Amino acid sequence: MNHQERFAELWADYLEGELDEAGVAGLRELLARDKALLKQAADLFQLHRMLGLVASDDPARREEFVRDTLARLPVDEDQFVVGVMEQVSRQSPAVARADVQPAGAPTAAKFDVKAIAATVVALCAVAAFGWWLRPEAPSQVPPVGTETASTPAEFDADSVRLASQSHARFFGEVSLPVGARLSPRRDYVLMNGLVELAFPAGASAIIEGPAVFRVLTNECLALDVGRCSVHAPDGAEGFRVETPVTRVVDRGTRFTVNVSELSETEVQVIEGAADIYRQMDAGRRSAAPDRGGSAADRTAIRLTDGDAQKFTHVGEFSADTIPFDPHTYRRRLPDRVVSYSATTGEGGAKDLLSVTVQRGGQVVEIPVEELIPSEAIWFKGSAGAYLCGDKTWSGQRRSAASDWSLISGLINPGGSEEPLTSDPVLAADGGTPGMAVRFQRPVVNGPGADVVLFDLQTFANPPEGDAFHVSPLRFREGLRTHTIRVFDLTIESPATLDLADFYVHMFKRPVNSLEELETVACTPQRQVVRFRALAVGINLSDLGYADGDEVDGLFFQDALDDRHYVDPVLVVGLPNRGTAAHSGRRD
Amino acid sequence: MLDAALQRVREGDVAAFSVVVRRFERPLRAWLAAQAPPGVDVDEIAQRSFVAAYTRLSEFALGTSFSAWLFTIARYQLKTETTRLRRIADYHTRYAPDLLQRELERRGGEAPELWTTRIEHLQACLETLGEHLRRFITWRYVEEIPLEEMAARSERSVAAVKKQLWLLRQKLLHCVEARMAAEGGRS
Repeated sequence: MNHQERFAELWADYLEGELDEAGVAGLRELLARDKALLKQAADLFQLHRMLGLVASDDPARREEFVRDTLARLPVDEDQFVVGVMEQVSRQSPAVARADVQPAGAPTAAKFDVKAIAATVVALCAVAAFGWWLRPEAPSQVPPVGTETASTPAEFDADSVRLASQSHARFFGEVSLPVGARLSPRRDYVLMNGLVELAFPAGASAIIEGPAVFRVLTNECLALDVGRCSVHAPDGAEGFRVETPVTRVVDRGTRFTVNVSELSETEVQVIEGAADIYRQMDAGRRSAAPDRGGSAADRTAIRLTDGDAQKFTHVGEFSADTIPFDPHTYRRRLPDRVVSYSATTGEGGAKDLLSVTVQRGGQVVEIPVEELIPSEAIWFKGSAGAYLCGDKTWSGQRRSAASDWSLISGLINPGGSEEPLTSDPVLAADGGTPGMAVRFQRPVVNGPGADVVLFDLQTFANPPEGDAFHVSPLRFREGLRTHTIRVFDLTIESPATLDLADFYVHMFKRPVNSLEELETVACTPQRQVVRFRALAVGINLSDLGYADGDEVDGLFFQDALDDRHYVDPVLVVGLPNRGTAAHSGRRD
Repeated sequence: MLDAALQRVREGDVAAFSVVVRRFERPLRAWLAAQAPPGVDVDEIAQRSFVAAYTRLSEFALGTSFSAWLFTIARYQLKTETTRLRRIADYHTRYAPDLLQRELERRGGEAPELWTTRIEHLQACLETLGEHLRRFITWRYVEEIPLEEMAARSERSVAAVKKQLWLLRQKLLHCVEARMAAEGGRS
């Protein structure tokens, strides 16, 4: 084996991470001996890196990079390590200024957090969700006593991340993408929805809007108003939630903290224990963690599983027992469509590649090959445009509803203000306005979403999606129409993708059947505004189907709640999870 | 438009910085991808560079080359990270022969714009590959599946897959170099 062959062999293993110590030494020896091989190695390594970059070079990922970067911008210039830039000044005359003192960085707009918190709470209704518990054995806890002095964990400013979110809307800024690092000691005002934060030691906190919170350290969350459900598994004990009147320290493993706009703090321990300390400077914004001195009283009130207390500080600190309600604890975000991926071209997403959904609490990415396609078997439109996609059609127009494209499909089906309560009529004479689809194979009802619908939307349309009804094709006892008004992925969701350019076909008259869809003359009109594809999961249980029931098709109608119509460009069934037997009915 | 965005950022419009990020993320990441030695997270360095530029924006003189300023920051961020890695005791055993790293550092003086051009040529070269060859690139760099999986899918041995990837990389390298040479750029 000559040097080149040996190099090729070692290099392949090197790029795959399979080179052992002897191999690295061998590679080093070859490169030291032969300058041409060294040049070749450097060329190939740079090519390897570029291939990785090209592979991830699509608009969605680049947009994710932009969002992630913006999410890291500090609000307070003191958060940034000044020394790094002083080093830059010393090294490069191009950057250097004579004055290397920290200069005034542009500051983000400041706002009165308390005023906004009060407004948020006053304007938004907080929904209550019920969660069922499985009782588990309580974890071992240290004896009750004064808080042990401990060295604050080293703070990694970039380590607390947004793990997931559901309909989260933040005040004054775009929604954070999943995976974004949260800026430390910066106020986040969650107007509505839910976010789950992941802390590096393993703790997680699900925060429900409306809420105002800050990440103080990688083991400490400040909650000025709102509710959070904390899970601190083994290894994350000591995780803290600071409220205006209390410091809640986890001793394993689950508890909720609910802070009212008057700073009353309710703590409910679901599992394990938590120690509650009084904030010495209660009434002010949640204090920074200990740095040698303590901002909290060192005497703890210990709560164990099943305990619930309310803490207030009006003149004096008080703690009162309240009824324990396990339903206040949220174990996970609701089942929903989490994201999707698509091919790209002409400036945006085109064909669906996969859908990521949370079903029955499990997040799973489903490639398009496993999705169940549907075809349109009935269409009666509202007015105007009924088709979108390419400029011209070579085959049947109705096939636009059957492909995987997010930019081609049947749009603006007819609707009804009142949901259907009987079978839709799928005949030209007296046909029901709307669109019926049949799945290529039956969709089996299980936990969570069973069908996903994609809707074209632009910024002039309702940001949460166009409300629509979804009905059985054949009603029977127990079945009903379900109305969806808010999509899982809205126009503001970071996971919602911009779409490639497409044409909308304007029809000369209303279309009352699929046959008319094929024959009525239409004119293509290129869309100049940017569209996005919203997505929502449809749970067949919401239509009254039992677990395991098989569904052949569905009927869709716009809800006629406004002047906008739903554009259901793609309706797909999710595959059977395989665990539920097909013991149900087939419709 | 860039100067206008920079001015707005200075006036407190944080969202305007997105214009800057969108304008430079591709060339910056391309350059960092080529310069960064093994073990360096390119996107992490790119983001740190943008954050640093944002925080020190008041020091930048509008009307001068923001690109040069940003890439200088990125060079420093990369050097800091490289130094940190080098100090890890077993870095060279785990990540890279030091000769390779030094050769990459030596190439750090190349103009960043060349790497944007190289990326574009690479994309063009990829499109000239037949599907039976391009699938290996897709498997390795998009799906990131193990060699054993590639072998199963292509009904070849792992050794044959390694050889195929070697040949493909050589082919792409020569293609990019030829295009750069034709353009008059350095290869």
